[in-house]
Amino acid sequence: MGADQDDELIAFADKRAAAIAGISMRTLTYWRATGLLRPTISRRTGPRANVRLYSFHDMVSLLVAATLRRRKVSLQHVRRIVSHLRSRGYGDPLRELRFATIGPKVFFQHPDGSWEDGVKRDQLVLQEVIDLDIIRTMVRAGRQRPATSYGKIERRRKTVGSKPVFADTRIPVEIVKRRLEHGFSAEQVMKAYPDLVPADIEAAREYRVSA
Amino acid sequence: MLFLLDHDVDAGVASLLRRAGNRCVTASEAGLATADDDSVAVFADDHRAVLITHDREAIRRRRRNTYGRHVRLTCMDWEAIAVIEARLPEVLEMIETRDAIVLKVSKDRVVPYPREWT
Repeated sequence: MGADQDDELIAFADKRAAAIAGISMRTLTYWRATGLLRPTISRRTGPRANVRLYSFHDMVSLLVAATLRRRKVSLQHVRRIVSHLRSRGYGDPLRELRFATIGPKVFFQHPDGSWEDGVKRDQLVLQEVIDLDIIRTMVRAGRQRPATSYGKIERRRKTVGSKPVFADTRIPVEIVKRRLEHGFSAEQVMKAYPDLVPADIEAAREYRVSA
Repeated sequence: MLFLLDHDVDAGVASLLRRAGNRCVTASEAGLATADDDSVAVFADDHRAVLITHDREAIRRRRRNTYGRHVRLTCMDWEAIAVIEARLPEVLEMIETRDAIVLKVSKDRVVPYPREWT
């Protein structure tokens, strides 16, 4: 599969999306409730259960908005810009256009290369432009398991029957324990489950002793 | 056919499915490694992917509230590659024409739920 096709098959649940964007769940919920950023996939699965998944494109928009906020652009200003650009026919302006900031001012570049708000290309320095390639790379990297999770075991509600799993995975510890008991080597287990590292295998061995 | 492999399925199954000409994405590649069961099932359904898992609990919930196409492997996890290789044509035939179905796939047989489809 090509990179674009791979991107179409990326989605993050809200908690993970907030963590990747470096914002709180409360902020993410507020942005969704006020219509600034709505997840592409939103479905009610039960009387009190909703699934919300942020697609790759949603994530690019989310990270651009979060970057603007970190650069001290007010939320009201971000909302006004998005509303203005939507009225001009951009369906998803935060990911369709390039943005730059100089102090509290926000500039955006149209697909024809022209910058809006009178700024000239040579007035902008590199660090003022929000680089969408870097943001896309950050979104793709968000799929990787954080090293701080290695060797840790957790239980999560509504995940694999709340069984113990390796932290930040959906891999039950019992699967690894069973493989080890049947004579599989650590290398064979890690080949079957490439997100696991030696610290996880060790944690599984110890978990068997303490369980 | 697009398959979504749950995190508890041997990565070798992904290679096998791709070699057989299918598209396949793992939960990890999709960004769903930390997602709950419903999120994984909704993602699969939204992308019209067939979810393959060993997880009995997630499938039990799908049988109560059926949406999307699911394959539950009832074999040992290290037998998954051989079982999928042997049963893939049967699985494809059963799921191709259906929007919502759960298949229990073992070494010996493929059992659909619901058994009779209207």
